Amino acid sequence: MEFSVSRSRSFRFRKIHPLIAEFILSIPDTIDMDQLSEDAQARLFPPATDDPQFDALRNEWKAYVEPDLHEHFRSAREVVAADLKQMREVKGMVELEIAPGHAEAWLNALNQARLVLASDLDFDEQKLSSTNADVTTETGSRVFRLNLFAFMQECLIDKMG
Amino acid sequence: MATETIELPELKESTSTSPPWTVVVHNDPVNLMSYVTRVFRKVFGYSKDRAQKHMLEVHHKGRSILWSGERERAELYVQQLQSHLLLAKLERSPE
Repeated sequence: MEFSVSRSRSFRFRKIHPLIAEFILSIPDTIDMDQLSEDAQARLFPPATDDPQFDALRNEWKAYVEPDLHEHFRSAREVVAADLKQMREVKGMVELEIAPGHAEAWLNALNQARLVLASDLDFDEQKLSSTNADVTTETGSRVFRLNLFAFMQECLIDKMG
Repeated sequence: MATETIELPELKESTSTSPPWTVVVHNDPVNLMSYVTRVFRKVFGYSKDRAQKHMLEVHHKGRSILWSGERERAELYVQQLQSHLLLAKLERSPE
């Protein structure tokens, strides 16, 4: 997979192997807010404070801030899903183009996906750095996607500044 | 020369004597270091060096205090950090 920035400042991932493209296409399903596990929900929507004496603040946060966060995450997911529909095949490989105005949404959605993948299996730093990425197993597939999405984030951050 | 008496405005008791609130970011093994640094720069307008210092503090010590002050602004910062998926929380500074 190659990464570059076009003359129009769009971000381009080229020569994506079709199997890798399948993993990238899985991002919207991974972060579908209606399908999140309890652990993933807890990680994406943490309380405002851990201090037990501020229960009212926690309740207000849940009532007024969480819906805004929910909408923010859903919006990023929609942008990514629309871009993924534009992926095209070139000589047996796949290309993905991300408009400059969509890059923030991509960073957000990639991070959502990584957190969801990690929270469901209680990943720690040791598991994350595991080189065992047998994608035929559930854990291996998750580790592979976590690292693939991290690579995509690093590419974007490097060029976005 | 005549002397003029100037009446000074009554001093009001400051309402900001209560301890400030702090914005704390906790470590998360998933978020990339470069991503966290970028979010700190974006949300607080920190220089790259200052943002990296806080990011490394989060990474090595498990948490970093990013800002402290009045509650309303602290809440806004935590909301912004959470919208970028950082593990940000509000804490009340000790009396």
